[in-house]
Amino acid sequence: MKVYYKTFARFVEFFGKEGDIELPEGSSVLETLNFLCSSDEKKRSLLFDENGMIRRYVIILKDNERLDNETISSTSLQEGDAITIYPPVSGG
Amino acid sequence: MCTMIRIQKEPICLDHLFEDQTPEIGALLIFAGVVRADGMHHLLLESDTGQAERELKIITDEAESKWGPIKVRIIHRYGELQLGEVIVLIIVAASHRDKAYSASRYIIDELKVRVPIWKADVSDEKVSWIHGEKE
Repeated sequence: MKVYYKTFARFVEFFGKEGDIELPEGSSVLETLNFLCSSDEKKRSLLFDENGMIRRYVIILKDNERLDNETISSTSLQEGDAITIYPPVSGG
Repeated sequence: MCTMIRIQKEPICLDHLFEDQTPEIGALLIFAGVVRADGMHHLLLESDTGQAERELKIITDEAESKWGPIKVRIIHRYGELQLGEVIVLIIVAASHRDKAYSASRYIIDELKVRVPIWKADVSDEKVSWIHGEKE
C-alpha cells in the first residue's frame, strides 16, 4: 500500500517536505516511521530517543489527531493514509 | 468581544480588536510577542496553519475551563518578519485581572510547546531553525 507523509521546518532537510512510501498492508504508524528512518542514524535520532520512543516534543499526527507512543504502535494505516511529522515547535 | 483565532501572513492591525466589549468585562490583558534582536537579520516563520488554529482553539477552551468565562483574540503571524514586528498578539478579556493574567500566561506557555509554528533565524541567507522551548 502507498502512504503519504509530510514534515515541516528543520525536518524537511532530512525527510523532504512530503512524500509517499510503499509499505505492506496494515503497517503501523511506528513501522512507517521506522521505514522513513531506514538505516540513517541521523534521521532516527531526530525522531526517536535512546529507548526507541518518539522524542518528547516530536508530534505525530494521523488525520489531524495527535498520536502518543502507544497509539503510534497500535494504529494501522490503509492505502492512501497520510501522517504528519512535526519537529518540536517554536512559535510565539 | 468574541473569541477569534487567526494565523496570518499580514502584519497585525489593531483596528477593531478591542470593540464589542460587554458589561461583565473588567480586565483586558494584552500580550504581544515581538521580534527581538538576537544577532539575526530577520525571522522566518512556518506553520501548519489549519492545525495551528485548531490547537489554539483547544488551548483557549482549556483556559476557559480553568478561569472562564473569558473571551480571547489570538493573531499569530507566519512568513518573513523584521526586527520589532509583532509575532503574536493575545488579548484576553475577563471579569477580573487575576483570571486575565492567568489565562494569558497559560495560552502563551501552551502555544510555545503545542502549536505547529516554527521560527528560524535568517542571516546572510543562512536559515537556522530555532529549537523548541523545552527541547
